[in-house]
Amino acid sequence: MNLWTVGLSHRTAPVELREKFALDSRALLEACRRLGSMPGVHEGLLVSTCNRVEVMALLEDGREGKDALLSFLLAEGSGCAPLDEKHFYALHGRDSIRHLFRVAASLDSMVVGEPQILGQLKAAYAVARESGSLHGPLDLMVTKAFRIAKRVRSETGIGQSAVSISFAAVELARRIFGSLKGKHVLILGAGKMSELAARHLHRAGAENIYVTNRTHERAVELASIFRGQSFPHEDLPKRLAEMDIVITSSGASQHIITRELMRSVMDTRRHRPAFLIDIAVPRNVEPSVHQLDQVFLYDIDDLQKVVEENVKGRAAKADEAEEIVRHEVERMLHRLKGREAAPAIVELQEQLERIRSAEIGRVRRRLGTLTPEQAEAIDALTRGIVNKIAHGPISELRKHAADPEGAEIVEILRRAFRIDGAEPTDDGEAAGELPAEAVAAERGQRP
Amino acid sequence: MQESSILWLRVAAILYFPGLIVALLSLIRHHPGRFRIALVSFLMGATVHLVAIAEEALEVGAFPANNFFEAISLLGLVLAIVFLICHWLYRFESLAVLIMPLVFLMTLTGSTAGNNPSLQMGAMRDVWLTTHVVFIMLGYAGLLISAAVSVFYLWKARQLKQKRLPAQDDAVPPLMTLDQIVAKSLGWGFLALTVGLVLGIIWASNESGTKWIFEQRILIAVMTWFIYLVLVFLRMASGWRGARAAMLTVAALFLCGITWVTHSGVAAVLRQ
Repeated sequence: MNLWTVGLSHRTAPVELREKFALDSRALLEACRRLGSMPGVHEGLLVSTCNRVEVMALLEDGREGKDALLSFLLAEGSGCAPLDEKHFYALHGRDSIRHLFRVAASLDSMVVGEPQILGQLKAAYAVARESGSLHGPLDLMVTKAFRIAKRVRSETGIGQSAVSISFAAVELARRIFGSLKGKHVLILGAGKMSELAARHLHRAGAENIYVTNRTHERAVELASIFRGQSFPHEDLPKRLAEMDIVITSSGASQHIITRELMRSVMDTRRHRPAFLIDIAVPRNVEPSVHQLDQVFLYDIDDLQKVVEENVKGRAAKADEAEEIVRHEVERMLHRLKGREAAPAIVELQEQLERIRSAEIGRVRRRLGTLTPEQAEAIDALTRGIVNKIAHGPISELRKHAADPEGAEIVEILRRAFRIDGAEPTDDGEAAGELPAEAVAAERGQRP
Repeated sequence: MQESSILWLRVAAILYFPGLIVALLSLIRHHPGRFRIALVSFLMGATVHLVAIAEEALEVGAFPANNFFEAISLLGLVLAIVFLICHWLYRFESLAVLIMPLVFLMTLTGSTAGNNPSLQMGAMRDVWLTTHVVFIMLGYAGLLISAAVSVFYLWKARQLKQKRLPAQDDAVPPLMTLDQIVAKSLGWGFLALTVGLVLGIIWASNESGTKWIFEQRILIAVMTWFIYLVLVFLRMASGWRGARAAMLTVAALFLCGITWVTHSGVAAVLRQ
């Protein structure tokens, strides 16, 4: 199997270089067509994301792929100055399969475990299928990579923890409230960071978004983004009890939410939990508020620590995921080698069938006229003999095709059964006996 | 207890045991698939447990809650069923860590009963009293579940207060879901305990007049019911939640435990 991967990623090339190779979906389709029609290319896949551009291709046996695929990539890249080869990687065979599985499982991503890469890979797969450049063993490998990615995610939980501050806020909110549907979220101060956090909470199901700001117009403007409501800053003490989640990013120099205010708010809320996210510097919420029962206050540093812990956790899970990938690469190689034996098996069956037909044709003249039942009986008898003889060699071939000596076994069988396109001889040597002897000799048995 | 019932109980305990071991391993090592195996084993244990109690009832011709062993076995079965319902409703796998060992120990203890009628606490063949026992057991099971969930609530709230998000946290439902489970199990448990107590009072009044009123175990039972009442009232009327409510639930369980020990004849067992 002559499989090659050539490309550049966030590990090898800076963004200034990666962006020159990035392809949009239309350009990707055209490039896939060109790849599929390249001489010596059986199948090809092109992946283009913000973090990687790479080409994977199954080439004719013996053809060197690195230079050809690199030239292809350079031709597709736009406005490139002379490039240093260190920005590119070229992988072959087993390494290439391992790379594909690692990419799909998000082990080669900038943020390990991020879910977007699988979607991007699926999109690239759809484009390659549409262009016709994917139809055989590479197709099989890519679909297998999707299944491995799912397995890695479900068995290791690598993607479960948040690795950005705004997602960490959503994750924490979910740990407190479960579903965010129907929860009331207040944005206090209309900063960019709080807007981003609110956007993630909104996407996660929080439908009721409220905004308050010292400049009321800005509050109205921000509320309209989420189809939420705004209220004057002075109403904050009255309205705070309604809010389950509060994100503060006001530029106020003093605490806006004090311990006393929060205590009375919690009484009004009948001690339902409240989650406060204070991303303002200086902080808007008095830190001792966190000591109140059922109040959970996280500032920007706390969220950052959560993110750091999660990143460490993902690294540990990545080790488990690498083990899954290693195991799956071995299985895939085994399967592919098994597939490589298929043409030899077909040729063997065809050769035996040719011998059988020729022998029946020869003997039929001597037997004279046969009834249809007699002809059918002879046909069934000879077919049965041939199948029985072929069963042993074919089983052995299937069993050992993936072993290192698989190619040697195929060669021995080809020679033993004279699978070279030649017609069976009629020189008195019983064509059916030779293979049986050869197979028996190969097994170290008496014929 | 009949020999065949004891045998069934031991089989139930044997089935509960792998259930609890597999459940613990699956939760520690994060293999959600294995938990299903634990659940199947536990379910089979509960079925055999039910068979044991039904057979004892048929053999004796009365509801088997006549002594400490029968009572603890009955409580184990009720708790197992309540746990399975709770899991079916909330998919709260971690609860198994507390409940499965408890059910196993109760069943195992029940199965150590000899065929000895001396521990019997009297003729409990009255329908009123049987219903009283079942409802009281449901009340205790409700309290056990709410106390166990309260422990998880306290743990989860502590993690959030300490601003740590351990991986095991994923196996525990969100804080508000835990609070809902506590509230529901307390509500239903309190209702069952109240019905059980009323039935018990009616039966005792008919049998023995009013001389039982000042018995120590009766006072403890009423006190436990009162604490239960306060707990439910504080939650429902005053909106008490969080760590304080969770700790009070655990305290209520402790008092219920004392009541149960005095009622079920464990003292007699210990004296023996």
